Amino acid sequence: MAASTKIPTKMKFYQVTGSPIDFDSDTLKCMAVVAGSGMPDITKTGIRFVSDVVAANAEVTGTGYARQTLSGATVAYDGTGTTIVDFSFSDLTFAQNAAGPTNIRYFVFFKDAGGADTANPVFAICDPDGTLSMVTGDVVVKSPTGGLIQW
Amino acid sequence: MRQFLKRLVGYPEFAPPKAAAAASMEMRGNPIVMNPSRSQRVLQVEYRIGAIERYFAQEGERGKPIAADKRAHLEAELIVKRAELTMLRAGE
Repeated sequence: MAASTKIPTKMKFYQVTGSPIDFDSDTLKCMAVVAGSGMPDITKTGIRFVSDVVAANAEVTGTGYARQTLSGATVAYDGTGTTIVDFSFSDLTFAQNAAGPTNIRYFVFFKDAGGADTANPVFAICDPDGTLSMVTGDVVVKSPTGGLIQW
Repeated sequence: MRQFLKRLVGYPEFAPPKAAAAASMEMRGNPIVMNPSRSQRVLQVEYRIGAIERYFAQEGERGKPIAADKRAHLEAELIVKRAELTMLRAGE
């Protein structure tokens, strides 16, 4: 299965019904989770908050692992067309550690609302198409060509 | 028979717009490539440089100034990314 980025359906819903994420100025983060029984459910009956994700796909653990804050977020009209807006961010790094996790299977992008995970909405789930390890080297997540999200 | 079918299915020029109208409201994710080839890295870096430049250029349209620390971060990243792009294009 090829790498993919999925947008939770509940995120789409709440983005236009009163609880939107400001992709330009909110605190956005990325965490890594294990395979569980597969990609978190992004349908209308699936995940909304980080707590929903970790109920089925536990967050990885290991020395040196920590959730990473997205910096340099940009929201802008796309450069190749006239009908697209895109979102990107600076490279983020889960730094290599000999005792770090070896079972990173999905990346979860969410807004850190400043409180519990039950109130931190997820806006994207990324499948890197394989299991990643922090033991053998840095795990660097780069905003893809075209941006992580396009509207 | 042909005229009957035309009336039944309608004329193409009167068909309602479909995908084109819906596409602009779609929210779509792009895949993250973990081990990109050199050509993929060039595209990634070119894209990111463009995204930052466009973000700066469209500051007025957003109606709020870019925070000083964020501006400094992005300006520093632009320098790094441009250097990276030069190296990638040189085959290093």
